[in-house]
Order: sequence, then C-alpha cells, then structure tokens
Amino acid sequence: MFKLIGRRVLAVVPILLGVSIVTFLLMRLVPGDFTLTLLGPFATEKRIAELREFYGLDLPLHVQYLKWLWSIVQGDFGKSIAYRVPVAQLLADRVVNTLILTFAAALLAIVLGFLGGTVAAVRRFTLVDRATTLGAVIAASAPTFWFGLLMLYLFALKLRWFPAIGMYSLGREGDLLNLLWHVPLPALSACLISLAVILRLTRSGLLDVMGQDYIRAARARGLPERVVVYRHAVRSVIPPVVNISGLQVGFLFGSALFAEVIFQWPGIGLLMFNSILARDVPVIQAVLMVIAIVFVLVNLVSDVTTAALTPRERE
Amino acid sequence: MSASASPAPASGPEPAAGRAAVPVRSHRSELGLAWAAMAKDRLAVAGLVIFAAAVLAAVLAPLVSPYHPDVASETAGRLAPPFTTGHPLGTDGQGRDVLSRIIWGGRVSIPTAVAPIVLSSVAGLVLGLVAAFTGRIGSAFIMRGLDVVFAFPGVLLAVAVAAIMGPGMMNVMLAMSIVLLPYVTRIVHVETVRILRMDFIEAATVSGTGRARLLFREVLPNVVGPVIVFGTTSLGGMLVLAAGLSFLGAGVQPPTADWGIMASDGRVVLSNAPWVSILPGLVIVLVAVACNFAGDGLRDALDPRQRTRR
Repeated sequence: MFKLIGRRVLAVVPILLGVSIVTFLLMRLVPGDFTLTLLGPFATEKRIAELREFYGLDLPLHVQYLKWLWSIVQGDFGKSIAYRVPVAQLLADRVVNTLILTFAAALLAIVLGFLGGTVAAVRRFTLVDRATTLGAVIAASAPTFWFGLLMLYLFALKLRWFPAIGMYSLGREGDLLNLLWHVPLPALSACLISLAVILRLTRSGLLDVMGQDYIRAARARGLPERVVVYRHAVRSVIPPVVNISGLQVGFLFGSALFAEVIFQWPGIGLLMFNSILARDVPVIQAVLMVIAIVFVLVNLVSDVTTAALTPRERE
Repeated sequence: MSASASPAPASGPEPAAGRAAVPVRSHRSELGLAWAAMAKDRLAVAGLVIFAAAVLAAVLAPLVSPYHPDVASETAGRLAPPFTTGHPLGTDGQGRDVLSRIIWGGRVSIPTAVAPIVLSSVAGLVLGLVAAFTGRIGSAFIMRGLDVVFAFPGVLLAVAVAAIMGPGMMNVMLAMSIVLLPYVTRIVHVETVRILRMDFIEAATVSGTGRARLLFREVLPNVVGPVIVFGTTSLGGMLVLAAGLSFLGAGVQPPTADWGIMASDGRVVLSNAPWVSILPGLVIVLVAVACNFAGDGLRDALDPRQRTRR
C-alpha cells in the first residue's frame, strides 16, 4: 500500500514539471511580446528594450524558464498587468472561493449522480429509468452556461428563491448561512455535466453487477432485495465511481468558470474571465498553473483511493 | 434485439484481417452493414437529420433566413417576444431578428466545432503513427509530452490558450485542436501498436513489404476508423466547447453572430427578455444532443460486435 502511494507520488513530479513547462511556453504564444501590451501602441524602442531587460526577456529561453520556475516555487507569480498588484495576492482569496464552489458542486454531482444512477438501475426500463437516462444525456451534452442562465432566470430572477449574484449579501461577508443561500445555483449549474457522467456510470455499472452470479446467489439465499442491492451490488460499483469522480473534479473547474461568470462568484474563474478582456497574461498563466496542480493532486488522491478500495490492486 | 438483424459479421472473418485480405468487396459490404445498422437506430437517425438540417440552414443562410442578421427590424422594434408577426423567435436588444441570427450563427458555430476535429485528427494521426513506428524512444518522447496536456482540464486550457493568443475564430479553433490532440494521438498510438502485433502485419513483412508501404497500405486504413469514430462522437462536445469559448468572449467579434455570443449578449436583458439568450442556448443543446446521438449510433454501427447484439 505505502509502496503504491510512493510510486504514484513520484509519478506526479514529472507531470508537474511538464505542466510548468507548458504553462511557461504558453506565455510565449502571446503575439509579439507582452511588453507591447504593457506599454501600448506608442511605446518607444528604448523603453521596450528596457522593459524586456527588466522582465528578463532578453535571456535564453531555458534560463528564463528556470528563473520563472524558481519564483513560482517561492509563490511569486509575477505582477498583474491590469490590477498592478502581485498575482499571488489576487489569487489568495479567490482560490478559496473557487474551492468552496467546486467542492459544493462535486458533492452535489457525486451524491445526486450516485443516488440517481442507483434508482435508475434498480427500476430499469421503467418510466423513471427512461426519464433519468434521457435527462442525463441532455445534461451531459448541454453547455454549462446555458444551465446557468436558465437557473439564473428561473430561480433567481422570476421565483426569487435564491440570490442572483455574488457569494454573500452586502454586509454579511463571512456568514455561513448567507453563503449556503448563495451557493446552490452556481453549484448546481456547474455540477450538472459531471452529475450526468457519474449517474450513467453508476447505472451501467450496477446493471452489470446485478447480472452476476453472486447476486443471483444472494437472491437464492432469500435475502431481501433491499439487502441484495444496497449491501452486495452497490459496494462493487464504488471504486469506479470514486475514480471517475476524481477525474470529474478537474472538469468541474472548467464548469465552475462559467458558473462564476454568470453568477459573478468572486473566484479565480471570474478573475480569469476579466483577465481575458484585459489580456492580463500573468494572471491567466497563474490561474492555469494553480488549477492544473490541484487537478493533478486530486487525481492522485482518487487514484490511491481507488487502489485502496480495489483488493486486486492493493498488493 | 431482433433475431433477423445482420447475420453476416458474426460468421465472417475478423474485419481487420478480412479487409486486408480482400480489400474492395469486403470493405464495401462492411460499410453497407454499418449503414443498415445505423438506419435501424432511431435516435441516431433523428440526430443525423437534426444535424443535417442545422448544416443545411447554415449553408443556405442567405436564402432561408428571413432577415439580415446584423440589421435591426424596422417594424418590430427591440426585444419583441417570440411569436411576433414576422419574427417567430422575437428580436434581440438591438432589434435584430433572433431566428435569422441563429441561422447565420450556424455558419460560425458549426465550422468552429468541425475544423479543430479535422485538424487534430490529421495531426494526431501523424504523431501517433510516428510515435508507434519510431519505437520506444520516439513514443516515450511524444506520448509522455502529450500526457502533460491531460493534466489540464480541457475547457480551462482552451480558454487560456485562446485568451493568451487573443480573441478570434482562428485562435479558438487552434486552442480546441490543442485540447483534442492528445486524445487522438493516444487512440492512434494504441491502435497502431496493437495492429503492428497482428499476424497480417507479420505476413506482409515476411513477404517483403517495405516500411512505407506497411504504414500506408496496411496500418493506416485500419487506424482511420477509430479516429473517425472519435471525431464524430466528440463533435457534440466540441460544439459546446466552441460556444463556451465564444460565450467568454474569446471567439468571433461583433457584430458577427455565433450561438455562444448570442447567449452571452442576451445576459443583460435576461430578466425581461429571456428568449434572447435562452433560445440560442437551446439550439446549441439541440444540435449537440443530436450530434451525440448520431455519433454514438455511428460508433455502434461501425463496431461489428455491437451490431450483432442489436
């Protein structure tokens, strides 16, 4: 078990290095040079050269990369072009806000997806099953921003059950109850695609298991159907569901981006959206880097958990 | 399900090997069988029809759209609700006909989804084949390099690339291709390695086939199938991704209509004129679901084992 964890952790190191290289190289995709963005169209040659030297753009690429990597390791993501403050300072609170939203969405996706998939499998080929499966197909193929807009319109603007924007009401920052009132709409719209994926996997996995001999044996022993399904069958579907859930957390960051933009949730997605308009490359780069690191780590945890839950892989 | 469904493939030879042995006749009947299986799949056919209708409407936009997409209506005014005479889907915040803009929007949205698939398929085929044919070092270099791309959530990577390169349709398509590339390459690589171990490859090598001929005549035809299947099944997702990037402002610039931008533009009038952003979104959902049904149907139809099971 510890050997396995050690091996997985070691495997993550080259991936993280690769992530940093890709993120660094993305910066080079900026047409021209970002000093031009910084100085505007009337920049003089001399000023550009000075700034290029200041940012170390005149050094060879690998030296630039190593210097950049060293500052990242120290938590220095450079300075935002639009806000004129260190990027790390901009990110600090917003990362937490995004994690709150993503965590809520992941919780909804996993719980509702697992329950829905189980119900659909138990009542297979009934109207409930067909409705759930069709709903899942539509949810899996529809854009997050469309769900967001739909929910914003229905539940916030028309029915007024939930607030339309933000994370807290004015003057109630840090109030947990107020947060719980703000979180459902963005979390629900962000989670739908993952919910559908988890639901379909649970349903098909459970249907697969229900056809196996040990389930028939359990039934033959006269166990009540409830025990057969919830004790025997469901248990063997959990490892693949844990595995896909880990993968889905990464996709949830993508969906959360849209939810944050629509519901004006003050997370890194909204920050990134505003940075697109401002061409604030250091911020985009930092957001991408942070999310990739979180994604890789979440996958590591889900890999290890899956292995721990699957006896075959434990050795 | 029905007993009379396509009896041939179960008794026939392994399709890949069969195709290599008798290329022309077997190939044609293979496609014929797939088509027959597809035609029986009602959802797939419905999906195909809806997608074809969307493509046709986009191609024939100048003929079928009732108004110019960028010019305000003189009669209906701003924010006319759906079912207004002359404007079945209403008008938007600038008084432009929503139906016409949706029809014209397909001219941007559909190609933006298709082009990255084509681009990444070609690039992925080349990279995957090169990786498989250059042996351990080549494949380690290419495949491990592309593994890194998997470490980024796709949507975010696309957004970041499109944002860094600046807004525009070309950059959006390039960003989406980068996101797709590792998937295609992995499929090609795995499939090529599998095929290279098969008997007919050994037979070809023994009978003196050169490496180039081996690659183009024996391996390539067998790898193209899975790539096409992947491309068609990812079309719906790409449509949604393209719309999402446009929604975030990374795509085409105003006044050009595109389904994602239309949904985004409608946000400011959402509370009193929800149709302006909900309807273009609904079109994306409809076409994406249709693509997914058609893609899944095609995948099942091309898979002989799935076909006999029906």
